[in-house]
Amino acid sequence: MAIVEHSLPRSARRQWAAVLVAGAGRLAQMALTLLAASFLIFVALQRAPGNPVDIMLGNKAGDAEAVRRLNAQYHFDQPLLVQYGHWITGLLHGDLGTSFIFREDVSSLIAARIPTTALLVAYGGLLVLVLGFVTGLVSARAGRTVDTGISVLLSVALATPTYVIAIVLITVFSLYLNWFPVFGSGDGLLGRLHHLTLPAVTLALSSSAAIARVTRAAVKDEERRDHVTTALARGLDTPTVLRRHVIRNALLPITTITGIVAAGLIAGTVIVENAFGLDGVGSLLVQAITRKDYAVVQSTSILVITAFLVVNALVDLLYGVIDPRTRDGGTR
Amino acid sequence: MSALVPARTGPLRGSGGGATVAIRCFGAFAVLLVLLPLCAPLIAPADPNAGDVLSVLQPPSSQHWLGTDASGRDLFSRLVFGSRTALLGPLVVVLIATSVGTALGVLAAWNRGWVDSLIGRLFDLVFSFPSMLLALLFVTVMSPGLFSAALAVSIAFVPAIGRLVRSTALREVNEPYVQALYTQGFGPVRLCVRHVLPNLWPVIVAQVTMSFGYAMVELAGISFLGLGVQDPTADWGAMINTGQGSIVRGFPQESLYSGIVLVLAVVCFLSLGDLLSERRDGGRR
Amino acid sequence: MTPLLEVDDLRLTVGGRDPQGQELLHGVSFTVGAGEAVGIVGESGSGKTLTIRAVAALHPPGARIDGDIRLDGRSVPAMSPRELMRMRRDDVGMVFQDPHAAINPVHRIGDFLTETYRKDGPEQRRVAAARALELLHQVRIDDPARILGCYPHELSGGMLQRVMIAAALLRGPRLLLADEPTTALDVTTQAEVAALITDLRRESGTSLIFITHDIELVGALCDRILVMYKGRIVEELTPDRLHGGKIAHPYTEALLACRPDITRRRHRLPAVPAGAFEEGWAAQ
Repeated sequence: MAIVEHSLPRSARRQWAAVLVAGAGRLAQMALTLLAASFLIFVALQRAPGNPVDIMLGNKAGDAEAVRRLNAQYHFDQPLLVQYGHWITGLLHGDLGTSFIFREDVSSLIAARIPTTALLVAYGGLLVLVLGFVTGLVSARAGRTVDTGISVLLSVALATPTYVIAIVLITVFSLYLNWFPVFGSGDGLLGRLHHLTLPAVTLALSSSAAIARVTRAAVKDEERRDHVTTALARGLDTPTVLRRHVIRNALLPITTITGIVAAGLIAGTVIVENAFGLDGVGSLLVQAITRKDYAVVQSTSILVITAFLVVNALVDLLYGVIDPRTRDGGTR
Repeated sequence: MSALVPARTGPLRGSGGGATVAIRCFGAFAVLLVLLPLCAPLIAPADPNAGDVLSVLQPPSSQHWLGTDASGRDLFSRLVFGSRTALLGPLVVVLIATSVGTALGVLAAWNRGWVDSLIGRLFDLVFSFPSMLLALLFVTVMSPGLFSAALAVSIAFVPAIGRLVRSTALREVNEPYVQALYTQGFGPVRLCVRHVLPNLWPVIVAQVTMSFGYAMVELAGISFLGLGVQDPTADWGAMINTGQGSIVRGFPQESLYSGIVLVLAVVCFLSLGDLLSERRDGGRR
Repeated sequence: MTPLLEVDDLRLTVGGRDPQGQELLHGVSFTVGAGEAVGIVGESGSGKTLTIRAVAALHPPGARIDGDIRLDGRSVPAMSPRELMRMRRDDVGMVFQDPHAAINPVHRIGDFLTETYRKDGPEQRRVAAARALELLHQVRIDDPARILGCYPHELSGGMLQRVMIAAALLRGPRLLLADEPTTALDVTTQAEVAALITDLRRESGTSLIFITHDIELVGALCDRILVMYKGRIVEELTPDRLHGGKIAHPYTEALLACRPDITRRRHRLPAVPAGAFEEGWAAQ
């Protein structure tokens, strides 16, 4: 591409502008979805059993004066929409309210939990991409026996829920082989990674199976295309044809599935953190639900949904980057 | 979690006669699975809830075929009885999600325009919640238990079924014969129920079978988090959870056995759904 | 002087599972001299595409080749993968039927054109880019500099086929293989592209094998015409024999009779006899 840069083109610039416009549209749509989702969550949690004021007051729950004071302080005496307005304004200013159970700012509570979860998702995501892609590629290029063997393994991995994988891995690697610690998050980066290895593998396993399947199908499909014949007919060497024509084009379907997989990873952290006793956002959510700490549930849910939406939007943008045909006008 | 990943290239993919044999095998296994909760009292050798502090965490023996759990309860009996909630939950999910999803899908296909786009928006909104989060929020609002978990998972599953039904129904509604009947004065409800719906059956049956498998995964996951079926009741997902405590003490069997049973059941339903939808696609081509 | 290309009793067998396999080409022999243009006509399944793909060793994987193909005296089936790559890159250019399918949609035109120079370092690629610009000009593309930055889907079929031709000629091959290069194009573009191939080939002295089912078209473009049917060459013709000349094989006769002709009044165009068609399919 380097050689044609001088001649590059108005048309290319227009395409990137189209990508940006599409991105802005996507952002607006995301904001709307988030607004609707946050309102739903807020209203739903208002209906949840247990009165936060009673919980806060503990055994002084009958004190009418204290109830009135707290209601005023937290705007509980105002209409639903006003309360929602207060909450969402606070949210935009980074004020997520106070946890009545943990007696701490929700924002600092969540902030303390984010590193573990972020590291877990990044570690798991990396494993998914490498493991899934390599397995799929090997499966597509290998002979029949290897291909069938891998396919069987993939089917099993795909049908095994995360928590079962966790149990099996803990049993084998922590209990019998004693290679990895069972619980906790570890200290220092290396310690953390060591503690996070089993959880990350657990998180990654069925997702990599999904990626591997799509990779295999996409590579096999792409190998049969006419443009691959053209590339061979022009005397390009096999590695170049594989890289620039087969894998490069197979990236399109792989990217599509990556969005779903990444979203699955984020949701999967809830299970994995609980199975391995990690102090991440997912386990915070479950603790908050069990202890009826609705302020924490609200904010954590919004965080998870935001991550979910952002990942999907990023994948859509990435798709525009790797498929030139979707850049202008988005017809495909 | 991978509910959206269509499995088309599995090793179980057969063609022609092979597919039918495979469908029969998985079908027979599914029937056995459905019979299990009904005949549980006949099969289980012991009361699943009768604990015995003197025989805690026992290895398999002639008295306890799979050993006992941390409360001294017979694991085999608990597994057998656990099938009740493990299958009842997905049944509720499939019933609710399919009926609501089908109704909305047909409605959207029949009334193009604002009804269609409203339903589409609704599906988008539900899709923006990871299904596990949706389930957790539901459980929070309604208090933990099998029913609220099942209701939540049902709602999470509606969009997938609704979209599938909508696209299939759209094809059907545009068929000349439906248009012809419509012009002859047949009412829309009668047309949908008598002519459009029967043609959707193959699609719906395949989707239902697969959803059943995925619902099992989700529901057991909620129970695993301690927010679904609660402890004394035997349930595969809940048993994986309660058994966790014994793993570090060197007794992984409770979690392991219930996990294995769960995976077997899930694989059965997913493969069955996969094969059915493949046969359907093959028939259309 | 030995001809540039000699195809000698070429047999191609597919179907590895049964021991016999199915023979799709039953002893095809012909030669192409330096600077000569040879047309191959025949209906779908007659084996014309298989034949030229075999020339570039691009026959379907698993197919067995018997007989010999010699390019410049060197046996193609006996070449090592490395020699084969070099032969495809330097000696043979190929143009395919549907340019939108034959050009990878994710790379820019400029990238596509100079792709075979990637391993030769940036200096060579710059030279190649200059040559590509010149060639695009020769294939009558206006504003070639802009085209270099475009993606394939932004060009029409006719434009893209010109790009394909430029790509095939970029390294100055001695043999150009054109596999129905005009079939996917509309009628006016067809004529332009066909004329373009002929002109460029004459200028550079490149030999040509042109495949089509349009017998009129090869008559206008080629020095010699080979008629293929059911995996065999049934007749060899010179263009002047197409009109009023002696036609030896009934199939060629039937093929010629199918041409629409404004000087003859007919109620309906005759088709190639039904039996011939079926046997043609069976051979496929």
